[in-house]
Amino acid sequence: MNNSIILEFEKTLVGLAGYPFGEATFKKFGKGKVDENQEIRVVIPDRIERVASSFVQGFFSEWIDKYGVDWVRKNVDISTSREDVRQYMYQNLE
Amino acid sequence: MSISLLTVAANEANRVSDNIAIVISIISLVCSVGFSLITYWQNQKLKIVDLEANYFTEIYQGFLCKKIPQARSSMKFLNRRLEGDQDFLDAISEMRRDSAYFKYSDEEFYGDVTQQLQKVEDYVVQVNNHPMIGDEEEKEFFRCLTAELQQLYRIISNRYHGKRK
Repeated sequence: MNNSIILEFEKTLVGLAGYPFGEATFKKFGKGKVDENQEIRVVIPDRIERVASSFVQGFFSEWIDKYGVDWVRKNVDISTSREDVRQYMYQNLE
Repeated sequence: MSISLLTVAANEANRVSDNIAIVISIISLVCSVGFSLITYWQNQKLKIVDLEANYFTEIYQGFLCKKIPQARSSMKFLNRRLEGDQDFLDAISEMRRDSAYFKYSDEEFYGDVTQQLQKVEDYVVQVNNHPMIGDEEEKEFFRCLTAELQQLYRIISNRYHGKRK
C-alpha cells in the first residue's frame, strides 16, 4: 500500500506517550504526505509494545479536528504485529 | 361627652389593633412563602446531589475498589522490565472513557480527572523505554505510581464530597 505513513523511532523506545510527542510525530511523518481521499495505513514498528492514549490523540488530532473520530476509524488502518496495541489505539482515539 | 370620647378612644384602639393584626398576617405570609421556597430549593439541591452520587457510584466504584487495585497488584518487574501492566492500562483508559458524563456536567472536574489518568498512563507506558538499573529504582517507580494514584483518588473523593480546588 503506497498511501502509508511509516513511523520510525529511536531503537530504545518501546512505549509511546505524550500528546505533544504524538503531534510532533504526525508532523514529521504524516502531515501532507498521504492522500486523504484514499485509505491510509499507519505502520507502527513491531517493537512498540505500548501506545498511550495521549500519544494517539496527539498523533491523530489534526484528522480528528478536521474529519472526526469515525473518519479515522474507517479510513486509517493501523498496522502492527501486536493486535493488543492496534486495539488499544483505536479504543483511545477520544 | 365623656361617653363619646371613650367610644372614639375604643374605636381608635380597635383600628390600631386591626392594623397590627394585618401587619402580622402579612409578615406570616411572607415568612411562610419564604420558608416554602427555601425548602423547595433545598429539596431540588438534594435531588441533584443524590443523582450525582448515583452517577459517581455507578461510574467509579468498580474502578476504585476493584479494577485498579487488582490490576496494580499484578504489575511486577522481571529482569528489570515491567510486566503485567496491560490490565492496569486497560482499566485506566476505560475509566477515562467512562468519565465522559462529566465532560458535559462538570468540565473542570472532567479535565482534572482525565489529565491525572493520562499522567498515570503515560508514566506506566514509558517505564520500559529504559531498563531499570536496580531494585531501588524499581521501588521508586512503584512509590511514584502510588503517589499519582493517591492524587487520582483525592480528585474523585474531593468532587464527591463537594470540595473544590
